[in-house]
Amino acid sequence: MKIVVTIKQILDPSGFTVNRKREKVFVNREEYIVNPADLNALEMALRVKDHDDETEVVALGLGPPRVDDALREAMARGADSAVLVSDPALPAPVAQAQVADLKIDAHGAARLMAAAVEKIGDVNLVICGTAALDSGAGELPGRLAEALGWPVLPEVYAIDELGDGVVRASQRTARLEADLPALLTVPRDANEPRHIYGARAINAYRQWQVVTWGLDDLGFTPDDLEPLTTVGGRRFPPKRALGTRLEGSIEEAVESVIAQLRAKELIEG
Amino acid sequence: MDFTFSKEHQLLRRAFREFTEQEIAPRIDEIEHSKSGPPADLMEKAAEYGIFGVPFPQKYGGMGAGETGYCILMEELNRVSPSFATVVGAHIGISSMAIYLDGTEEQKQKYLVPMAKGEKIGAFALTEPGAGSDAAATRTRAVREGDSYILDGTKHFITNGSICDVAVVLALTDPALGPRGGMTGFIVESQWEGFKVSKIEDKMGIRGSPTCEIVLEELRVPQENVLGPVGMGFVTFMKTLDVGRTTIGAASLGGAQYVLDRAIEWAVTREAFGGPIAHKQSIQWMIADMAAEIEALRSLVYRTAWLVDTKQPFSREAAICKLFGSEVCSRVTDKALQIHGALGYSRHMPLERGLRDARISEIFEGTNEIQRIVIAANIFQEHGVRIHP
Ligand SMILES: Cc1cc2nc3c(=O)[nH]c(=O)nc-3n(C[C@H](O)[C@H](O)[C@H](O)COP(=O)(O)OP(=O)(O)OC[C@H]3O[C@@H](n4cnc5c(N)ncnc54)[C@H](O)[C@@H]3O)c2cc1C
Repeated sequence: MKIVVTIKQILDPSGFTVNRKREKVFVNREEYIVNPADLNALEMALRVKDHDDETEVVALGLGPPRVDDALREAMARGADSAVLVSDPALPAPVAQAQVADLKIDAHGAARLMAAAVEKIGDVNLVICGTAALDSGAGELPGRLAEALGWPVLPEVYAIDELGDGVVRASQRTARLEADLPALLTVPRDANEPRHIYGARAINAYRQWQVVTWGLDDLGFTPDDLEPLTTVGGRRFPPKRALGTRLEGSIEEAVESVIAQLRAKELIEG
Repeated sequence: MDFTFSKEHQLLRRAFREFTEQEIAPRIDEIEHSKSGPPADLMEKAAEYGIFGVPFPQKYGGMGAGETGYCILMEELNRVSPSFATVVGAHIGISSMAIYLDGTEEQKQKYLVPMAKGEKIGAFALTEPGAGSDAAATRTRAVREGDSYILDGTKHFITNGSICDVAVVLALTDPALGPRGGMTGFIVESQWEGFKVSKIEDKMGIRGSPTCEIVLEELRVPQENVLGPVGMGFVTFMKTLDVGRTTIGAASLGGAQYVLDRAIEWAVTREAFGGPIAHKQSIQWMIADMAAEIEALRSLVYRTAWLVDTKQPFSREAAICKLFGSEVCSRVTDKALQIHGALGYSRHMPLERGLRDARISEIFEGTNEIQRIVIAANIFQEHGVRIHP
């Protein structure tokens, strides 16, 4: 079984602060992390590998050269190899705060990644995090499946069976089945990702390589990546109302919640 | 000169931070109240991620992260749990390290490999009731009998004594020669007959790390378990302590940085006399002094780790790391506690435990008085003068 896990590198949210009054995002520390849901996707792949030595897990990333670090981290957590799609012709991805500068859209990214999956070859399964923490769009997995012409199983919590040309997987309330090759998306609460193995962290930099493919390698020119959508402007998201805090004992709090739900006619009795 | 950590060491720090925060931090109370060391499942998990073999080469089951990687580990562990850090430090820094430095290839395969993988836990048994700072006064006897040695004696204040599988033990093979040719190191297995844990100390701090008295009674050790050349044990044990010292500085750095972070958080949130206490100059100066000492310690620790990793002389710097680091950690923790006021004194906050835990680093692996002697001896030696403790 060959499984590709998509890895997105995002700005560490603990490194920036939001000034609502001035509608600005301040990046205090420019540090990057692997998108959390992608770690759940990786974990799902590694669990397949735990039970089957033959399984090969390939981490696939897209972006500027620094994404190399995210892919080495994926290897340090257990991925067997890593591929980075990176090209000086691709516009430098930027922090979500400046997303208007982004010149390649999810459509372009998905087509590039589909070409990379095909170039990796003999891939049975692609696993993606359901959405990225920065954009929250969740657009890429569906588009990637579309570009590959594969079925997509969204919001999968566990793979129940894999092999003989089919995958059976559980969502929260349904079981799905699809012919392989297929693409799964995994939400953040699907599993507990494993940690970084120390020795693998050392080897990820001292011994292992990240294979880098540019547009040429994948048979693309920048013109092929004309976005379908362009960002017309930016808007600061509206302030979310904070919930009410209930004081007192647990019993009192429960009583109060029930009373309020009754008052809003959300429960009967 | 380049002061940036390598990419792999940066990733390693994140790995250790993730492990300590997600696996160790939620279980501090359990660790602190355990008389038998950290919970077994936590030890197994730490082993799975390679924590017990950080500095050793991968061919011996280690991580291959060198002294720098080991310092990062101790820094991160000590932020969260000095008890856990002590268990790991005694295991890696002094017991496995002694075998790594002076063990034969067979001994490394038989003991170091499972120790680095965390399958076997180690202890370092040097101190005796009558031989603390003055390790040359060691009384434990080892008498040759055929192709074995029979060991008799008492070791006390031995970290991991009750949870170890393997202990390195210093014993007298020739009382007439004493430390100069008459002391030998042995690798002992705790399940051998004659290895007895006679007491577990009730201590002020690092309460989650077992510190034990061990009685060796007619303990038979096969000749192949002699560690290093016969008669050269004192050198092996002193050399091992030398390497361990840098990492006590690193542990102190982690502990100090942790309480500084807590103090800063508190200073900006706690209000008194109409504003956060961070606006008071006396608080600012405490924070500034703490930060200054910590910054100096950080440079010192990682420069010394670099000396070790690049195989340059490091003895003097390592002793300075241990001396300065342990005192910085105690001073900084005391100030952090002060900034927290009454809350700092409460058992619900980590400051009170921090102060108790920090104190040990001024005592074990050579008291700070002994470190001053080591430092002075190194300095005077450069001027052709030999001094004795
Ligand atoms: C929690 C804990 C864990 C430990 N773990 C281990 C372990 O794993 N393995 C192990 O072998 N040991 C261990 N020890 C023992 C520790 O290393 C010794 O306690 C330490 O070396 C000091 O020895 P001592 O207690 O006998 O003090 P002493 O040597 O009796 O010293 C008493 C005082 O006299 C001072 N002093 C002694 N000689 C001189 C001198 N020449 N000049 C100036 N001052 C001097 C000392 O600094 C100290 O202040 C541990 C101790 C503790 C408390």
